[in-house]
Amino acid sequence: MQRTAQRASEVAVALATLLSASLASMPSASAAQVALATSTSTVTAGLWGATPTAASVTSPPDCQASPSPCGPVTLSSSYSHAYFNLWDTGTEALSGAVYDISPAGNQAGPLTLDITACSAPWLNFLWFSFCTGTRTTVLSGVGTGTFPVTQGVPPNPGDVTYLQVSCSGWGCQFDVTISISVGPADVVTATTNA
Amino acid sequence: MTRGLPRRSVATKLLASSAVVGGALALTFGGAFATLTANATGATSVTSGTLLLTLAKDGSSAGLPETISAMAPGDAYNVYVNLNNTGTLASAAGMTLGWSANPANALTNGSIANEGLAVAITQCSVAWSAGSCSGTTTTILGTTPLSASNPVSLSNVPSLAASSGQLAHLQFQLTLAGNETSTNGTLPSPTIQGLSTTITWTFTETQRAGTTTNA
Repeated sequence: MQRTAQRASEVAVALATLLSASLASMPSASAAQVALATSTSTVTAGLWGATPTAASVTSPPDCQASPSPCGPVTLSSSYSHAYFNLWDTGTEALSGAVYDISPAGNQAGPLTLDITACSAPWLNFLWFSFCTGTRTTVLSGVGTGTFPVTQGVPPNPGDVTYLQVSCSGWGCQFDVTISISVGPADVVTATTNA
Repeated sequence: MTRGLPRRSVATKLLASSAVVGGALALTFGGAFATLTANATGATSVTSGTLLLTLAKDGSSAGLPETISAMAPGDAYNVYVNLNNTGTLASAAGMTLGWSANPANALTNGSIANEGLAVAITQCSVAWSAGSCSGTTTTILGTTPLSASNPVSLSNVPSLAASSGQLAHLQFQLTLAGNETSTNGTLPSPTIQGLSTTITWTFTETQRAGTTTNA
């Protein structure tokens, strides 16, 4: 009798273990199914920037920007003209730029500057300069300060605008620093529906 | 000698014969004591539901996946997709959108303050047409920087493919925020310019809550 009872107990334990294992392997009745839908976007950000570089000038010999490439562009002129180029080296078209003009030493007379853009390199002969392309006034009669402009920036990525800086008085001499910056605020933006 | 058989031997034979007959009777009629069994049968047919979600382009849009090149701050790039509950089960409230970027960089990881990509989703009650909605628009997800933790919950889920067979027409918009100045052709450091990344989007729906039916 004792042996029979012991056998019955062993069987009960085995059944309980088996039942427990079966319940554990069953999915929970409260589990929820999940569905996913996936896809991708591949994004490359553009470059927005421009490079002021020294203009290639031969006359007058001291009308030049320095250093090259330069920035801030330091113009030191004992004559009335200086030249530099603005080159859009990025991938984005620019709608404007900000000119920051500050005195940089020698200055004779009131500082009044004109900045003129040309779509082609300037031709210079002695004190005379000629634009063989489209001539655009960027700033006129300005002193020191910060000037947002929309003219005189390269129209497309890779384009170059040729800029002439001149002072308004006869025989004027000046040293100025001109910093030109372009940034996201100046970037032509677009909404694309694809 | 033969008549002289012992009486005990005869008795033994009779007893043995009785045992054999009794055993045979027991075998013959023993079944009369087994339990009777009656069966009643019925049938239940069960078909499990399906929970399926698909993402396809809406109308003439290129849809997803998409490739955006030379993106600039202020640009908005829209694609139009249909989110479709193609299963037989409705989804529960709480649909989410998750994303991961590879590689993770300043476009997505927030390493440059106030710069990087953001996503926004707007639903139209009818199909989008060339970027415009002739029906009613509903914001599903406001502009959300990808540097935010995700997945994020999508609003107005009852109208977003919640029921079986329901289709949601979505404008999926990516924008880029940036405030940088390049000086003399040199990029600022750090910068979001010129970076590339691939973002994997995952819409997730969960099945409706289980129900108890008394029929």
